[in-house]
Amino acid sequence: MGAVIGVGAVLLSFFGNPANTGICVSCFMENVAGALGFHNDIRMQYIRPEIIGFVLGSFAFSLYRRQFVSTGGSSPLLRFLVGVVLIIGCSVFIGCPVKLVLKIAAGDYAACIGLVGLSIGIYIGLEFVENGFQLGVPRDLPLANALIIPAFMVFLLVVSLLQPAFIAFSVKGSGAQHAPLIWSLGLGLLIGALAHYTQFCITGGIARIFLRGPREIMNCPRSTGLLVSIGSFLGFALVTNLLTDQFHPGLSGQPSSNDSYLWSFLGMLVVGFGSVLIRGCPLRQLVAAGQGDNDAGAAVFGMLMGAALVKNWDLAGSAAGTPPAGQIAVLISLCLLLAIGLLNRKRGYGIAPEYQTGLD
Amino acid sequence: MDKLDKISFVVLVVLLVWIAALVVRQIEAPQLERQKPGGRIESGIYSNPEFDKKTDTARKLLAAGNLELAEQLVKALSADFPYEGTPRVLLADLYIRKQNPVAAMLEHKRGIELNPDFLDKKTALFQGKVIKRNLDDALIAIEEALQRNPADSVMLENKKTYNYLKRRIAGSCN
Repeated sequence: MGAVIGVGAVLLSFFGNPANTGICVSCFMENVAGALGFHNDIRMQYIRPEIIGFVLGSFAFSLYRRQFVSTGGSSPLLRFLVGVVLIIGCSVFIGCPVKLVLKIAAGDYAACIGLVGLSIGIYIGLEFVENGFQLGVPRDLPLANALIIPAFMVFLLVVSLLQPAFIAFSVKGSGAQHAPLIWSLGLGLLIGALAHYTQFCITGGIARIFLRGPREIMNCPRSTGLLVSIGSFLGFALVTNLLTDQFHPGLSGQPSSNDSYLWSFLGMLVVGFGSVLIRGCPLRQLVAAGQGDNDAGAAVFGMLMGAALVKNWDLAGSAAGTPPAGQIAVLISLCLLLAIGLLNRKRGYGIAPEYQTGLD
Repeated sequence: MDKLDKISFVVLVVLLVWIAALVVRQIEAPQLERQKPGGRIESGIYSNPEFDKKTDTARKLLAAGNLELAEQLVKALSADFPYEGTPRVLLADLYIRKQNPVAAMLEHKRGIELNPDFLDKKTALFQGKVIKRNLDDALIAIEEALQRNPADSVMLENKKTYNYLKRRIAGSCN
């Protein structure tokens, strides 16, 4: 898994995606939101085939393995809200956890501050999860519910091929920078299928750092494998960057980098915290939605709404720093996550059963 | 109420105070002229007749070699339209004509950060070749200064800006 996503993502950058952005769920969600007309930033409008691939790859492979199960009912609206918050955090840092690893592999030392923020956010989330936090036990739902997200992705694929007038495509800026559709879609499908099989999740892997001995076995038995996957992802991405001359070490002035370290740190802290509460990073939400998890589907639609908001309300970070609205949005996001954590705790209880099956 | 609740409440209070401070600072900040989204057209050129007229005049003054008047006008434009990149690029042009490539490089940086269209081949504002030439000249000036005084902190900072602009020309997301 680490090799596929590490080599594949760097090659996507090499073949046309923006620098250090071979794969970035939050940037790509902003592109999709722009293409659908949810915001009017003419530089960020493109239906990214990678997003379609993640969901449909997971959908097809889960069908093949007979693991496609329609489940849901575990606080979908709260998950929707956390989906919005995740994209706000990512946009301030300029990138999702996958892009964080890609930035480090390309020599962006400043991204390490984001890694620290993400790790601390995960630690805070784990504290809540281990102290009775729960969003409710998911139950089986009619099959039609689980088909909504894959059907939405098929719709996106069709309109990206037909390019009707109501879909916008950037002719300049990062939205206009993309690898050939067949490469992006193919790699997306492969990553989606493998991520379904391995339950790949950056958040789950980093959680391993804080879970030792019985805590690991009881709370997140897959986390060791996930951490190894992240390590191999970083290693393969680094080697591919070196081979394709895309490794440019430096502390400032890196592509897609926000040089205001405090807000990068806090942005990723929000992402780590929120991801643990809804059991998975943004990539994991897409993959889980593809395999029939309606709650993850709610988070995916929340991420799409968040992508529109960060552009319309000018919340995103940039090389010039973080706008005041973005700073306030990050702090409000942290307050929201804390409030969700406090209001959904059963005092005196330990980890909820749905989290014990493996922190995805 | 357990330990986690207590810590969370304290953090919540700190965050709320922080948010209030940021909001107050925003309200009290000088109300700089805001550019409405509708004020822009697709090419990225600000569609304000007064602005267009003044930038045209500044270009003519620069072309005619009247650098003193051009400088006054362009600096006034930069102050009146702080979110526009064009006055910054005009100022860079002025510094190039004044044989000061390092100052021009710094203005190009400000211009690009305000409007990345200056590095976009597909727009009428594209200035990539001019900026590249300016960077080459600036590097020579910086290297000369650093040979004279390797510890010159200003020039070391300028070298960083040079590297940053090189990276910006290579492309970026967002």
